[in-house]
Amino acid sequence: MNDAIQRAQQEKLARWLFEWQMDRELAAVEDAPGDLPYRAKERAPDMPLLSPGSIVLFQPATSELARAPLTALTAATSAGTALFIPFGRFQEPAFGGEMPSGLEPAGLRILCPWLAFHAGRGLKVHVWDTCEILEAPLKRALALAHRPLAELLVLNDASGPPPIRHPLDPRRDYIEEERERMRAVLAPFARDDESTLLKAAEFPDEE
Amino acid sequence: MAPPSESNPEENEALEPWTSWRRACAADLCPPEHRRALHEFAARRAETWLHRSIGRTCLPTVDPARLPPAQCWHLLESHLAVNRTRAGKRYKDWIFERSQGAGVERLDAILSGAALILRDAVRAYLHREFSRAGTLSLDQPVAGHETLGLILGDLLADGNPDHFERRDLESLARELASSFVETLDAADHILLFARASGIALSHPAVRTASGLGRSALHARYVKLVARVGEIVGDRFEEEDRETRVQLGVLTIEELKKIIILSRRPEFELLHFFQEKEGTDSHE
Repeated sequence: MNDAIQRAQQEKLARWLFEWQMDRELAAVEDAPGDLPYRAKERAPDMPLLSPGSIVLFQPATSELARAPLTALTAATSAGTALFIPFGRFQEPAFGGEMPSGLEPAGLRILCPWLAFHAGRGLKVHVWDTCEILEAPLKRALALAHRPLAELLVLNDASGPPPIRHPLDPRRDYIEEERERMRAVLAPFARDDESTLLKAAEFPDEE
Repeated sequence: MAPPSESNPEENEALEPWTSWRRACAADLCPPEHRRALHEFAARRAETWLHRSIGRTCLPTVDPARLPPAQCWHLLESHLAVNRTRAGKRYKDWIFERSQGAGVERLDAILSGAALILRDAVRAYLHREFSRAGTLSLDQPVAGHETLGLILGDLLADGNPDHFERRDLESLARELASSFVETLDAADHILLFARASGIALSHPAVRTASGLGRSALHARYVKLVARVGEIVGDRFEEEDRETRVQLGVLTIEELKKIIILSRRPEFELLHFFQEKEGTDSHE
């Protein structure tokens, strides 16, 4: 890998680390929001018919959803189930399991195929908007979603961030945190619908 | 949405700018007093967060005055808007739906939801304006690990040295790991097993087995890695930093392999919980 590519990866990682550090700092403010004892009183309607590329907004269902509205996208549908790929919180991909979405809004820039999950028709969601994701990123996200996390951690794509190797790389903390958050978010749905399954739970986070 | 509270006129008054915003699509289309209230909400929150960021990082000057109230509000309004239509702003419905949660005042829930989005928007703003692309150094300390001396360059160490060099390093790593493992206690074994198996340190099964919570386990892991780093540093002082880092990383990997191979039967229960936690063992 040549110097220019290494330099580009180094810059990507530094920018991601900057945002990670900001995230820690802002979350540490005493009156940080998000810890309300929230419980949903009513359920959203059953999952409506969605086509690949749809962006959906989940019903807020738990106080553990201490972040901006979780948004996800249906990447594919098959008999009764769909594959959802969440948007990331940050502006830069953390590692090879994340990629630019091609969308402009700051909250929708990064897709996280490593956090993809399958869900059945019983999933309760609100449709946000439809057909906003371009076909090319959608296809790439789908391909990444089918690769094991262990592979994605060390993916060394010249146009992406550097692989994760060091045991104290903060991106490992980020991965653990996001995975736990997703499990908490999906827990109420999973109870209602046995086909809801967080894909990242299938793979170890280390090599 | 739940009906306005009849018993709390003060809350109803404070809610007005928000319900007005929901109806009007954008704050700019709200009556001036409502618009002002929304801008003030965003400005007050953003100022707190921007002040927090000053001095905590290498930010030269983050002057909250750079962000007038209207711009603070714009950060929130644009962060998740897919487009300018009502359908492209469904995040507003998410904010209001939070107010249906039992046990929470409607106003608190709305303010909390909006603040969550605004916090992400402020972070994205800081990233956009100050992430300093092109001026970084490989010697830059990694936030959170300054005391260990971890630098950006360590995270970039090449994990694929040439074949012969890697074989030598792996051999040394196995040797180091097999002696180091003797110094570890039962909690360390559980910790390494969890790390190698992808089981979260916060998982109840890990806590029960180790007797330690997530923070304590995480701190223990950092110490363990630091100890390996010190041993490698002492024994291979003459090697360059990148080689020492590679050897340290390989030694940790070898340690995990040893634990997995030697203790898997005992820790099968943790595996069981790992497989189940995607469906029914959430805290």
